[in-house]
Parts: sequence; structure tokens; C-alpha cells
Amino acid sequence: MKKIVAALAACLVASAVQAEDYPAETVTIVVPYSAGGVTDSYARMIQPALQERWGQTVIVENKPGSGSMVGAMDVARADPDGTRILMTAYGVISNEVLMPDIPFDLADLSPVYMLGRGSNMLIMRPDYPMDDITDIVAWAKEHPGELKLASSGVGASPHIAAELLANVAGFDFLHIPYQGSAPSRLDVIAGRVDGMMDGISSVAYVESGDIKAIALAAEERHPSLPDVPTFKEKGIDFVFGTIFGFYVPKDTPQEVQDEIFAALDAALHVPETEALLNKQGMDTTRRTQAEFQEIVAKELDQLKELVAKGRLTPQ
Amino acid sequence: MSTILDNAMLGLGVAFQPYNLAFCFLGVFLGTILGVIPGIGVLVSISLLFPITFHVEPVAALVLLAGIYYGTTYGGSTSAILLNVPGTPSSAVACLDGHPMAQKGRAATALFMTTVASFFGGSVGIIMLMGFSPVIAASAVQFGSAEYFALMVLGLIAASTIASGSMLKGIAMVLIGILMGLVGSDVYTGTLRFTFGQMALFEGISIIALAMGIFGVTEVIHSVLNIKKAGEANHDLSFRAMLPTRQEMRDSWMPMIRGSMIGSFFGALPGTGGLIAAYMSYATEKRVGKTETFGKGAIQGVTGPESANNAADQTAFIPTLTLGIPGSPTMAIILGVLIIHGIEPGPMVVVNQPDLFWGLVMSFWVGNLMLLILNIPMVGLWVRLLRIPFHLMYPAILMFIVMGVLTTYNDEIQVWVVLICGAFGYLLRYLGMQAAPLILGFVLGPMMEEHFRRTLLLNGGDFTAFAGSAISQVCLGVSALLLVYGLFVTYRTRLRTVQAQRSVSSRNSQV
Repeated sequence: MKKIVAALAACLVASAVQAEDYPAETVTIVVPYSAGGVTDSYARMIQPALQERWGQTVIVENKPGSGSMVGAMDVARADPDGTRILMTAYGVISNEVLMPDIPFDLADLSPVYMLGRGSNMLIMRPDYPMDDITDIVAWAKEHPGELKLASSGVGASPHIAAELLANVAGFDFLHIPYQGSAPSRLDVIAGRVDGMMDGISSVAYVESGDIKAIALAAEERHPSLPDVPTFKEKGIDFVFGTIFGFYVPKDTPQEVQDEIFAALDAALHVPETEALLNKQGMDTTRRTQAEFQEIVAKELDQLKELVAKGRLTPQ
Repeated sequence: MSTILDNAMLGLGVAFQPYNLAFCFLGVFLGTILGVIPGIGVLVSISLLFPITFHVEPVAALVLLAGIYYGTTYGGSTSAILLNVPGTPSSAVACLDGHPMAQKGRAATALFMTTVASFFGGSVGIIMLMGFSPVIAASAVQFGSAEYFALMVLGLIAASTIASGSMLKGIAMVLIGILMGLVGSDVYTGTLRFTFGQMALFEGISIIALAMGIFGVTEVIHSVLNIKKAGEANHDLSFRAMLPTRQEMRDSWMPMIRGSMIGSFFGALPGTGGLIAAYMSYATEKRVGKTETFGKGAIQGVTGPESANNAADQTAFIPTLTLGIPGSPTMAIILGVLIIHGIEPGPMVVVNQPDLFWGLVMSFWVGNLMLLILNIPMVGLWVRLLRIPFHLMYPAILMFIVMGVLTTYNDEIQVWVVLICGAFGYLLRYLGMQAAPLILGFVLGPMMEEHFRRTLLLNGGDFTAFAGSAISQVCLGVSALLLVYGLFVTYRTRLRTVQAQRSVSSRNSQV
């Protein structure tokens, strides 16, 4: 009975919102992280273009908490009329698998637009004896649990990246979690851990010689690091990066979702914006909504596999 | 030396551009105001104003946000002294002796001296930043988990005397603080601890909610119940009343110098900062100070910690700008400005962007000077706040606390956390327990645990790793000495009391 009422209510709301007069009121982009973070900066970067296109006020609202779950839940429970849009990173996908007990279901959200995919690279301490990923993997296989890889936290994307790499290449490492990427990076620089999976933003430390970049978890080499090979070149089928995307409540009318898609696509595929994103290591290949949904589903499967193999433990 | 002068001149040129000057003033002015208002701390202020930085030059944006950052520390002690409600968590220490001074009618002097101490601490911090950044950054890298752990042990032991009154109650409060700090997900496994299934507690109890509850709300409840006692002190608002006595001035120099050194050290270490620095300075003053008045309005208890947290504010920029390693969430936001303007934070910023680095550093001088000039005439105005009738004042404080928490978390559950912390704080106060050691345990406890476990993890469970470097050996050695000394002092006083009692009783028996 409840479901029928809910479905009826959804139909009513849906018919009330017409795509041609969307948005009829202020649109809020909910960022489940604090102001000043990467995700927040991307949301604010596109806010003016959306405002101009829609002729409505567009607000970026930061709703941090519980590893991005507070903001995700907020949008999942909002009216499905496209006035509250979630812009988030990898947490919304990984927490679905890693935190099954929280009162949030990724299925309550509809993935609309994929801004892009960040790239990760394996960085090692400056005095690490090996430079080639093949040698490192061989050594790690011979010495299971001895390679010390740091991460910005349990279940954070650098941790997942390291586990995925270990899974693909077939070795075990010692995971050393930190609270945030800054302190973990500092311990790589100081040589207290062997290395970590890090975003392309650590390129500044590669240039200054404070760390060594070993390999890139992307399809292609990055222009800022022309000498650093990809894992694929070295025969390891490993591509990983956090996924920045926009989500709306699942019952949002498709016409509204299409308009949001079109507006975001127009706002982001401006040469300067794309160049800036690419410089930060973001792969901004255009993807349809269906492709984005497929990517999310694929990520979920990958994570479930890691859980099944005991590499990740859900809470 | 000449290069520093050249760089300073380059920086001054940048800092004195009218545009940057205006942003500097705006920053420190807003910072002071927002710092005074309880609940609206530095992180909120900076987050609220962050979007502005998309539209201005990176130097101006950094100058603005940095101005807010150290401006709130100047302002934060004001409400701590006047109302016993710290404006920011790091000014909680200012309650300990600043508020008793205000109760004695010396609020104006306390405020004047905090401004002077803040300026002094800030200046020392900037000198460290200008002259020794590369050296300090290099030594900050030397601090690994083992070293941090040893330092935290030293900190807890040194600060065990911070509470006035019963030692046992002080230790109990530190332990309760540590327990409260453990709420949330375990750093190493992600296991949720003591959250009772509440999502609001997944990331732990926030320091802002705790400090605002346990100091702010508690104070409001306490004052409502003791309304008759309030407002007894008469406040002289003349400039002369503001000036410290010669003795107070003499008593303040050394605490200010020591405080600045302690602050510069903790500020430069990523992960620690103004709050820990202020506590350590207070603990130091209490040990070396030759006065019995700590907790009852000792000027040393105000000037030391105040210079410490302001010095820490400035040196916090050392790891942030020279290594690209932000030591706190606030510093991470400031680094965000660089990223948005396409400057990759890291070791090359100082080299590649000298005008940005030195312009910012020199703007700190300008900002601190502005704060000094801005704050001294404001003292009279702030003290006048005390004349606001309490039936208006306390609801306003509660309103600001709720606003502050809402703007930080944008989640009404956190308001409940504040209220529960407030009720708990009142219970503690009723039992004669002090909140200051609790905050220290809350901050240091989880850090100790994190570094303890990481040291063992990195070294395969080898306990000798804790004393593996000179830094940790010194810290642990000093801790041991302090412990032995503390036990010795306790034993000696007890022995003397026993002897005194014996001699009294034997005299009595003779009679």
C-alpha cells in the first residue's frame, strides 16, 4: 500500500514538473564536502554558467558529514523535481558497498552526468631502490605484506586504488591509513612508508624530487609527466580514479534529467574549463547518462569483488 | 640576510598595493568580529567567505582568508574573558584566568594584555616564518608517528597540572576527554566505535560542538541559575584602567616569550596547532610561575597562551606554504585557493611564486598591526557588552552558538550534540570538575592512539621504535623526569603534612 501511495505521489510530482519550465525556482547543488575542497571547487566553477542558462539562482550548498553520506541522503530524500542536485566524488559509490548499514541506498539516486574521472598514480619515497613497476610488483610478490603503502584513510579512494592494484597484479601489501592525504604524503616524502596511490596533484613533489612517480592508473600518459608510464603499458590492466558526477533523486522526470545533462554538458565543455580539468589529471571524455550509469554499476561490481576476496571489509 | 631583506621589500610592495591592503583590513576586521561571536569559528568564517576567492587575485584571496584566520584568534579570547564562553575552541584556555580577571573588574586590562600578547606572539611567529621557514619545514619532516607519540605523552604529563583544585578530578577529566575523542570510526579499520548507530557520530564528536556545548551552553545554564550574582563588578572604562600595573607588565614578559616559542613550535608541526600550543603554554607557566593565583586571575595565564596561539597561527603557514602540507582543515582551505587559481601547492611555491609567498608573509605584519590598532580602542566597547542585561545577552549567545554550529555542519543533529554536551558540561561543573583538561584529553587522546598504533604498524610491533630517534628519546626522557618529580613533590608534601601532624599531636600529648 505504502509503495502504491509513493508511486502515485511520484507521478503527481512528476506531472507537476514540466521540463520546459524547469527550473521554476532556485536550484541547489549539494556538495557533501566542506567548502574549499576539490569537489566544492568544481561545483562553484560551473555555478555561474548554469545560472546564466537557466535564468534562476543556483546555489552551491556544502553539506559535509559521515564521509559524504549526509549530503547524499539529503538529496536522495529531496523532492524529485531537479531543484536539489548532488555533486559528489567516489564516496557515494564506495560507501554503498563499505557501509551497508547506513540508511541510504545508492539506488535512490539517479546518476545524471559524469564530470570526469580523476587519475591516480603510484608514488614512492625518493630513496626507494626500484623505479620500475614490474620490479616492484615482483618484489612485493616475493615479500607478501612487506610493501608499506599509505592511504588517506580506510575506504578512501587511494586505499581502494591500492587494493585494486594489488588484486590485479596479485600481491599483498601492508596498508598504513592516515587521516587525509597531506599527512600520508608527508610520510612518503620522509621515507617512513614506501609509497601510496595519490592524485595527479602530487606532480609538484615529483618535479621537486621529493617523491618518485612510478606509474599512472590512466588510459594515457599525462602531459605534465611525459616520462611516467601507465600501468597498462607495463602489462598491468589497472585504471582507476575517483569519479566526479551529478546525481538527482531517482523519481526525477527524465525530461528534467535530460535538461540537467544538457546544461552541465554545455557548462563544462568550454575549452578553458576543460583545459583546467585536464591539467588537474581529470579525464573529461564525454559520456552519456547511460554510460555513466554503466560505469557506476561496474565500479560497484569491482568493489564487491574486493570485499568477496577479503581485501576490503564492510562496516 | 640581504636576500631576506630583498624578499621582504618585494613582499611589502605586494602587501601595500591598495587592493591587497583593503582585503587585509577586511579580513582582520571580519576575523575579529567573527572570533568574538561564540560558535562562529575560523573554519566557518573561512568556508563562508571562500567563494569570494573565485573572483579575486590569488594574493588578495590569500591575504583575506589568512586575515580572517589570525583575526579570529585575536577576537576569540574576548568572549572567553568577558563571558567565560570561548569564541573559538583554541581560546578556551583564556577562560581559565581571563574570566576571573574580568570578575574582579579587570576585564579591560585582560583584554588589553591579550591584544599586546597576541601581537607579540604573532610577530615572533612571522619572524620565524620569514627567517627560518626552510629549516623549520625540514625539521617538521623529521616528526614521524613515534616522535608525535612521544610529544603527546610529554604534553599530557606536562598538562596534568592544568586544572586547579583536585589532581584526581583533573586526571578524571582528561580520561573522559580521551574517551569522548575515541567516538567515531577507527582510523585503522574503519570500525565504528561508540556511535550507537547514530550517523551524526560516525565522524566523531566535533571539537566545535563539544567546546561550544561544554563552555558556552554550560555557562548560559550556570548564569541563568545564578542570575543574582551576575554583574557585581564595576568596570572602569577609562584608558588608564585598561593599562596593566607595572607588576603585571613585569610578570607578562617571560610568559609571552615562552608562549611565542611554544606556539611557533606547535604551529609549525602539521596536526598540532594553536589549541595545543595554548594549553602547553598554560601548563608551562603554571609550573614555572611563582604565583599561587592561577585559576583566580593570574595575568601569566592569559598572556602566555594568548601569545602561543597567535604565534602558532603564523607558523602554521610554514608547512602549508613550503611543503604544501596543510596542518589543519583551515589550512587545507587556504591551500584550496592556490589550487583554484591553478597553482599546485608544494615545495616549489616559494621558489616559483615569490611575490605571492612574500606578499602574503608581509601582509601578516600589516594585518597584525591593523589588529593591534583596531583592538585597543575596541576594548572599551567590548567591556560595555557586559552591561547588556542578561535576559538579552544569554539568549543571544545561545542563538549565535546554534547559528555557528548550523553554518559549520548544515545539519541540525549537530545542534543536539551541542545541547547534550552543554547539559553534560553543567553536570561536570555542578560536581566541581573543570572542562579545560577534558578538551585537552579530547584533542590529544585520539592523536596519541593514532600515532601509537601507526608506530607499531610501521615497525612490525617493535616497541623499541618508540625511542628510535633523538627527538622521541628527549620527549620521553623529559616526561619520565616530570613524572618522577611530580611523585616526589607529592610524597614530600604528604611526608611534611604527616610530620607536621605528628609534631602537633605529640605537642598536644605533652600538654
